[in-house]
Amino acid sequence: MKKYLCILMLALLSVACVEKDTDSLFTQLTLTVRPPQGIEMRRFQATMVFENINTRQRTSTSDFENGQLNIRLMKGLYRLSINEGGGLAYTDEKGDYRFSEVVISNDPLTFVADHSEATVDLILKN
Amino acid sequence: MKKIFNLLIAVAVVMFAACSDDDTNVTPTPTPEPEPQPVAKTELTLNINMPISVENPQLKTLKVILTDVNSGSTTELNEFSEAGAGVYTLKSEVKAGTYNLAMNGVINYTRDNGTVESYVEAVREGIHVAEGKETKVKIETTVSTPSSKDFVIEEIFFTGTLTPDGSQYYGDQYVKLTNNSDHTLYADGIILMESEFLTVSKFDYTPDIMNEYFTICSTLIIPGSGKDYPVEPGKSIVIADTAIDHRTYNPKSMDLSKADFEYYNKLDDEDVDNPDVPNMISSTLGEDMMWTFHNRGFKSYAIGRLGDGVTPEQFATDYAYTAEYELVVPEHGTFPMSTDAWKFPNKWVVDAVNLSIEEMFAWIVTDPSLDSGWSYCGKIDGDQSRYGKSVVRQQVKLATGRTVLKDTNNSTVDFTPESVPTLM
Amino acid sequence: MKRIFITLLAMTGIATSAAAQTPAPDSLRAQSKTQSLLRALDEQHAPDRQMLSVLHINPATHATAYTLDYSQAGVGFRMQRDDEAQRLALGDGNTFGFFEAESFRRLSERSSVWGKAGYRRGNLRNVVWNSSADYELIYPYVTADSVGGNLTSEEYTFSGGYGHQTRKWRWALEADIRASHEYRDIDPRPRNISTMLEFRGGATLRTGKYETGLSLAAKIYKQRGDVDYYNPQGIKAEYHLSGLGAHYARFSGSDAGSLYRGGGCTLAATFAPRAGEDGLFAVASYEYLSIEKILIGFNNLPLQTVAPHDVQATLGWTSTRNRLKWGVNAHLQYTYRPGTESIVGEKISNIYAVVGELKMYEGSTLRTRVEGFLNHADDRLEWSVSPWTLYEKMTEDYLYPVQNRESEGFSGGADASLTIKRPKMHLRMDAGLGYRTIFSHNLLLPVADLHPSMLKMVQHDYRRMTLDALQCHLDLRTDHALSRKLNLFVEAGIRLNRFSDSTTGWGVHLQTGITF
Repeated sequence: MKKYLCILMLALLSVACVEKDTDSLFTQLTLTVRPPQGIEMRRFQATMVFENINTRQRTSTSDFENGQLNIRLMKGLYRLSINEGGGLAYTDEKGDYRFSEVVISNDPLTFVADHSEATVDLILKN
Repeated sequence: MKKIFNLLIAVAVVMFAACSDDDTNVTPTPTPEPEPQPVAKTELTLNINMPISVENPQLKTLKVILTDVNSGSTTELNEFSEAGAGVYTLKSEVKAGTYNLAMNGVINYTRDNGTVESYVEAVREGIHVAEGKETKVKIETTVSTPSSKDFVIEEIFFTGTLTPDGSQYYGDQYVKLTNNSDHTLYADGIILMESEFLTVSKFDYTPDIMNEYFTICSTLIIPGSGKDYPVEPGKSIVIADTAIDHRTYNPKSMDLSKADFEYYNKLDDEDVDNPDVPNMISSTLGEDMMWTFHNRGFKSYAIGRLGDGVTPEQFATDYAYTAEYELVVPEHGTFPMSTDAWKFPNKWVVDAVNLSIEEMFAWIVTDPSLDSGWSYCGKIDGDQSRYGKSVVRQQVKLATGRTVLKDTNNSTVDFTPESVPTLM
Repeated sequence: MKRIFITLLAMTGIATSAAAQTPAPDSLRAQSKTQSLLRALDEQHAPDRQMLSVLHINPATHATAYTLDYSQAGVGFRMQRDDEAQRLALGDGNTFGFFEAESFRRLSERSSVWGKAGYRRGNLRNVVWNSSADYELIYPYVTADSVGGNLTSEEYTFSGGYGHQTRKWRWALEADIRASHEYRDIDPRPRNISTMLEFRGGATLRTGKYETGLSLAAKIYKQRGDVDYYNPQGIKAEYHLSGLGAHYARFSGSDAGSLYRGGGCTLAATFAPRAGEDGLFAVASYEYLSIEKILIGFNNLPLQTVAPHDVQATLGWTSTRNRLKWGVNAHLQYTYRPGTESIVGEKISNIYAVVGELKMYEGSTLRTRVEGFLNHADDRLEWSVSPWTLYEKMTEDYLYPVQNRESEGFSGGADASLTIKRPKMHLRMDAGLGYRTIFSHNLLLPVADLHPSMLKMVQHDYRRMTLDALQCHLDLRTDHALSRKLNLFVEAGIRLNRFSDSTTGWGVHLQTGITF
């Protein structure tokens, strides 16, 4: 009888002691923006919006350093976009300094690993 | 036995009495409210960088709304200080939690030796402020420069209306094109195009030509020899499905009898031709190509002009495109499919607008350089609230002071979805 | 479904008549002549038997639960009304007509059969935020809309078991079938058909005065449902709820059908005195269930899975001294209810790929109930008092964005019963009074990010679940012997709840039928 009780209490304790492992919900994403060929990026200034397609939650950031961003996101399928006015200061093939607003592809990206990396091509607006 | 019944009744009476309105019987003694504890505050610093796209930007006014996600309460902040060239700082004491931020401000910058006023906006979600740890948030502000050189699609009314008895009414859809430039343009030869692909279902179409072409299934062309239909700056033309006063048939519709052009389908016995309104050329891609607006908003629309020397007939033959794709039917296999369409070069496109619905949106069917967003009427398939609504392009004031229609090639921000039709 | 039910019912009849035709041993036949149906009724209602019914999780203990044959069939009506729904998804009332039949027969000194069959039909009032059936089973993965309305509901139940005794061993098999059908005839029009099959097998081994038992059960569950709109203008959105105020936003909108399917198992150990003996009894059980929600309209996309674990333990003692019986027991239940959502990839070529899954929901309930009874019975009068107390703690978490709902409370009360016995009539009265107080509760929601109407729903349910409440009930039952083998019974009862915000709820039931 005592044995049954001990087993039962152990089982209860083991279930009750399950901690909420929220870390496994997230991915640490390193995102790099890549300018079109032939131009040298001087500075990228934009707010990038990450829309989780499944939850519709949106996260936005402008914490780019040299065209690279580190962000913690919930694992999932994301559609990325750049808020209006976001753009790229660059020197073109002739060495002229320019600024152009940019857009990016609307294709979704999947981030399901604990650490994810992605590169996004910048498309200069006409 | 009688005693027992009396006892029962007594028990019942006591129980009912205990359930009476006398709250003292049932309401627990209210727990005394705990003494309010001082809430620990944490410093939140916003570093606001001015746009790099303009010269000598100066922040004039700022309004930051912080929304505490867990309580819904909002805090407005306005005080800021300069922290270097093109950088401003706003500091605030907030309690630990998660915040959403909405910011808008006014900046001045130099342009052509003059000072221009512009607006900046930023939105950030899910800012985590940990207790006792200063939180710094960098916000890059940007200024958009809308395009204002050509025609734009100002409005697409694609949903149709409902009759007073709740039935669907068709024929009153229209598109409004506006000259967004500062000089007179001619509408002759402008092509209105409907996408072949749906924004609600994506397939791996091969060959993939989207970065060079817009894939279309149907077109309407404004007639004219080149200078027959001048449109002054800021003025619009309306292309109606049927250019009649629809209120005659449906009091909840509108008068389109003054439209500039209409689509008349000779093959449709029920279609009405208004002799006072020129018909669009509808036979570019074949007599059987009927024009129908997708009234749930699954398709995208664009306007453009054929390239130099290309006639509609040449286009119909030389720009045919067959897209191959695979349709997977679970438990039945994969089926090779194809669809015949036409490819319209992106460089000939003047303006494009993707339409979709939130519930089913899968992809935009234009290259992002034409339109990187989408607008909508209704959020779910068959949304009963969509009727009598249209997508209407917003207005924006240029640095030159001229007010134009907003065209940043992103319909999500350029259009106001679910608007009241401007002709209603 | 009706056809299946009628077939099953017919089978019950055949089984019962077969049992009746089985020549009983002479000793039993002699005994049956003298035994009264009213005594069998007493046995059914005896508080020690009621307390020991927790052992019936092992069908082998069910096989010797009663010493006297007893069958009952009746029709009835029950109704419940609340000023405010305790949970919007469950509605603020219901009205049902029902038929129920149950039987326990000893075929011989070594074997017994038992069975139940039931049918109920009625309606559930003002059910909002729930377009699925079996809400509590599939929670939190419910299809829902903000419109709701009344639902028509019908349910068929059938169960049967057989047990056999050898010298030291007893084994038994049991099967349960439940089928339900819920629908609404105005927009939005959910239609849900669900079935639950359960098969149990168990054995006990006698060692001295005590019996030690082990049982294993397997469950299979299926629910097919969809929500239609006949309005030609279109629809209102259906949501796939994910727990508290969260929902799987991507697939909200028109509902092209959901399939819930799953199964599970239960392992139980029992330790109890032989039937009719006093002493210590204990039960421990573990149940695991996993129910997956599949969106049929999205190419059979597996969207969410709830997989509850349930651990229960009961320890008690019953004793008889002459005409006085008493018993105590402590019951502990811990249910851990994790929910997992699929990460659905991009839809390409008509296919939604599942690229991962995340455990987003956790719910847990801890219940501890201590109760006792004191019973005195003689040939003319029987009375019982049963005090009880319950501690209950419920926690729900949606892990991101963080949502939390908790409540912790005590309930206590006492039930009392009095049975007046006459040679051809029994009159039984049950009354009870209880009080629930919630002494700790918490609700954390990302208010600014939630759908406003879902936020209201969660806040409403939280407000209701944290109210203190006074509960009382009064039930009367009278049994009249029509012949030596046939009794008529009439039963009626009322239940009242009054909450600390002055709202009330009440329920009544009325049933009549025969025992034989």
